[in-house]
Amino acid sequence: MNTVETFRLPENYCNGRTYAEHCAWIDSLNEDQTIILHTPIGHRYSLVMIAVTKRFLTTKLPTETRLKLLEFLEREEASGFAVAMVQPICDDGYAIYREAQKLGAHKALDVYASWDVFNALVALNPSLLDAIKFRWPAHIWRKPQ
Amino acid sequence: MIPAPKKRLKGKRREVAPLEPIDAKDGPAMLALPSDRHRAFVRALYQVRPGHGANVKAAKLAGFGCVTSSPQSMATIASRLAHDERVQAAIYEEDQKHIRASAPRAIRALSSLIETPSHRDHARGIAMVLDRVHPAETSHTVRVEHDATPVFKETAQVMARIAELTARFKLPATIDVTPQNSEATA
Repeated sequence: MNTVETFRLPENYCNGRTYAEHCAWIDSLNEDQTIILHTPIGHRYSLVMIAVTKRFLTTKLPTETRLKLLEFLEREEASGFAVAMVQPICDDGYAIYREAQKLGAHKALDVYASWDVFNALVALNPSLLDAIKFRWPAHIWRKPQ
Repeated sequence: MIPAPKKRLKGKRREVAPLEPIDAKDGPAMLALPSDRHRAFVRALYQVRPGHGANVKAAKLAGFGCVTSSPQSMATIASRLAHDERVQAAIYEEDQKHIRASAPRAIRALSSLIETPSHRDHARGIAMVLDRVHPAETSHTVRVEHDATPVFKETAQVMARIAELTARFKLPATIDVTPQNSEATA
């Protein structure tokens, strides 16, 4: 008895979209959005945290706290992030950050990295996108022309 | 024989050389007053006899009030003028001028005092002058010790590291020092 099982794509392939719809959505993205889409989630929220940390460092802080935050940035730089390129997050961006923090520290990171929130943050602070482009200038996935 | 002095011929008289203008200029506080009457009030304060009613007299001299103004209303006008901040600033400015202008007279009086040995404050006047000409010299020895203990060295290293990282990440340089409570840390 020959039993051949056919692989069927699920109806909800991604974010409530079917596979065909998802492919069409990817095709509709511009170059910058495509870069963001292909940036790993961990890198996205790391960039957000760098921008938030830089905002904290522009305020008055105790010396010990300042040093700890600077050492965090140093570690991020050692991981390959272009820390110097990232601008401190603006007031609106910080308001988004504070709202996401209400969900808890762990869940908030997923929120920063989510497509909508990260795009909004990039619109407010384009240096995040510049930092992504700086990190992967050659290996970045680009749309075929 | 001594020749007689030449008699001056009557004729055209010499013209008087024009003098430099000697009008005193008002200071900024006086100029900031709203009207000439206010300026006149400030000047009148130095002319009327000091004592009860001096402000009212100065206000009348400056032209405030009218013929029918009662003494009570004049007193109100004078009080309001004297307590106006702008007028007080102008009074302060005029005070400075009067004190400065009195200095030559004070020096002249001091000179005559030290030239009068019979005066009872003759010695005091001499001492006053000598104090200003040759003031008494006092010497202070200030000893400054720099403590370069390990705590200070570490602090300097930390501050240097903060400065280095701040510059590297293009952050604005800020100096913030948290006061350390020695009792709390002990």
